[in-house]
Amino acid sequence: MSELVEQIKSAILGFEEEKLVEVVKESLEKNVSPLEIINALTGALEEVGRKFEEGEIFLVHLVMAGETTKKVVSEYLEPLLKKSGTERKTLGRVVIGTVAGDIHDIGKNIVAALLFSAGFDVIDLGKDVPVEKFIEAVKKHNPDILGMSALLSTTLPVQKEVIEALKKNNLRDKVKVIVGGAPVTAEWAQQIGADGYAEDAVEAVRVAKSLIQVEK
Amino acid sequence: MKFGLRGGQLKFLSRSDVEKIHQTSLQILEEIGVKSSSKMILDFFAKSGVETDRKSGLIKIPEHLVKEALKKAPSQVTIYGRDPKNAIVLESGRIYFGLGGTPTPYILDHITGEMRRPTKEDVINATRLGEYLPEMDFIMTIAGAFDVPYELEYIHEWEALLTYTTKPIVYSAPGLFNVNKVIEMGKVIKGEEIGKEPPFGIYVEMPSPLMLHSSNENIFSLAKNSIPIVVGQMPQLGATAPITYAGATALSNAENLVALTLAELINPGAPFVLGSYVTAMDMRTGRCAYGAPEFAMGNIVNASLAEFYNLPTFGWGGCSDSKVPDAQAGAEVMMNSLIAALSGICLIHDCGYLAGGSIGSLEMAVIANEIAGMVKRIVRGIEVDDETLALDVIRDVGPGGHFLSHKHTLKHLSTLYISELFSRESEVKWIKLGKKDVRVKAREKVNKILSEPTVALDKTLSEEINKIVKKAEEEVLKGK
Repeated sequence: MSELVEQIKSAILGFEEEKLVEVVKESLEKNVSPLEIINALTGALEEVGRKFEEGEIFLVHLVMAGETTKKVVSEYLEPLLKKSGTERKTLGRVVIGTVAGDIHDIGKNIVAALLFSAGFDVIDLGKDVPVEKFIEAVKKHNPDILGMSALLSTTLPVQKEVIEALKKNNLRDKVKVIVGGAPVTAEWAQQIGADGYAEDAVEAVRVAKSLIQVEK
Repeated sequence: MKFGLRGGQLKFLSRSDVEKIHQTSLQILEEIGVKSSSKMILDFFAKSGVETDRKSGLIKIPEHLVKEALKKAPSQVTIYGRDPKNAIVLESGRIYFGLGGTPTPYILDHITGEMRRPTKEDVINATRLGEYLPEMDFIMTIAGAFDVPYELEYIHEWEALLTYTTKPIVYSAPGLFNVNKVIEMGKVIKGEEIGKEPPFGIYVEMPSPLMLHSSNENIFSLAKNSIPIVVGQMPQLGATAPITYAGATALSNAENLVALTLAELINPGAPFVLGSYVTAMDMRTGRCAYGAPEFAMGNIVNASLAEFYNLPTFGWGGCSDSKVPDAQAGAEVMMNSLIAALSGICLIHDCGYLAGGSIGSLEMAVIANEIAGMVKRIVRGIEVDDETLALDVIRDVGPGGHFLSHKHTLKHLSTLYISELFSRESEVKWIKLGKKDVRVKAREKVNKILSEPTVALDKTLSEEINKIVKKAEEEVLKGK
């Protein structure tokens, strides 16, 4: 087991996607349980996160590690978990998207990758997401957290419209709302009745974790 | 009418490098294509015989169409402003500096020194500052109207711009609603034939990589009315574009060529300004790094492509990632302004931007104006002829004399850049004057400029424009 953890770590920290897939496949052949592999992946991602915070590695490494791991989990491990009737343990579920009228989503993509790396189940609605689509997604996926991004001053108010729509649909107390994006401020978040605000992706993970802990 | 200085002394790419980038852009458009969710854009391309996939929104533009469009785009574009004596003639290599860019979500209040949300009043003050600063040849903004209904933000900002400057304006009007209102406002000043003397150019940006959004439908109204389309693409190295400069530029240039092809198909000869630019994402913070060397370098490549196409250009300078006007801001602003000018970028915008375009600063704009003056002096270069070699003057003065009182000195005095803001006095005098650093002096200058009378538009005309704003308000808000 510790050897597997080391191999996974070395593949993730070496940012070698093919090698990671290979290690995961091999482990499965050796009858290592998917859950154990996921635990190993999570451990490696924690280390990636620590290295980033300490300035040893960069955003590109962080996003790459997150997206590669997500791919491996969804392609190789989750189908097996489903078959065996078990579930991946996550910190919680996040529905995330860039609001209507706004097609800037690179920041939102980074947040999504980091949240996944931190252990969240992330459902990404993409960009230019209409108010109704956010509401539908909250109804369908029953997330713990809803994250909304806006880069433009003219699309910022859509975050407020989504919160209003959540209230109208009696969903507001079922989900925590986090907002982000260049023009977003803590005051704005408070003014529109969001639960959290983060000025960058690393902070977003912290805020998400703290909101979940308040819940549980 | 102004014919700007000729930059373009700085070149990194050979002719064959430029041709390779151009060829790659053509291949991107023909083989990979661009995606659009706009029915209007898809319909138009389909009607023009371009391969479009309605389901995916993919548009693949053949090489010959792009090449024909390039032939139709004029090599000289003039933006007149309210007062034609301020008009700027854009052609490959001629440089002009501009105040600010698109709206900023914060302003650094020059009185309190605190960062806060800007208002329409700040947009007016920024415009008045730009009108006054001599090195600012065209006007965008370093604020944003956050105190009006958000759907009408651009309309109100345009009202402030059109009312408080006589200089050429370059600004955003995304989507058909905004652009049509803005053209209507422009017609109040220039009449129905606005395309003959456009007071402004409109900034157009397509989302990278390779997307056309419904906000880009404004290209239709702009091309039809012969209003300059000023493209400013911002693909970020390693994030929304390849991390390698050549590929990122090919991508950015492909995006420009889509807009150009669209515009020239709508109206052959439509004025177009090229912004095949590349920007940098800071890999620690994810922010677009306006002070990065790679950001400044985008100007060099863009200028080379424009020279190849014989088109005018839009680029960046006068901006910083620092949050206050400090040493970092000074270093970054000088670097990107000088590089932009030496590259020969026509419209060098963003003067007065801090925090990578998130904070506007009137003080920083005053400092950037000073830097632009120094840069223009350098670009003016060195003239060598009998008059400037001054052999007779040297003979006149002779060994041991001095040149201060010679009429030749007085005659050519204007060739020296005499700094108004930067400290050159003696240290003793500096102490006597209150040990003011440049930010303090810039703040004093902002206050002085804002106490001067405005060049507000004739009352009848400004009332006409205000009527258009009010009508836009009714149209937008009635549905709410």
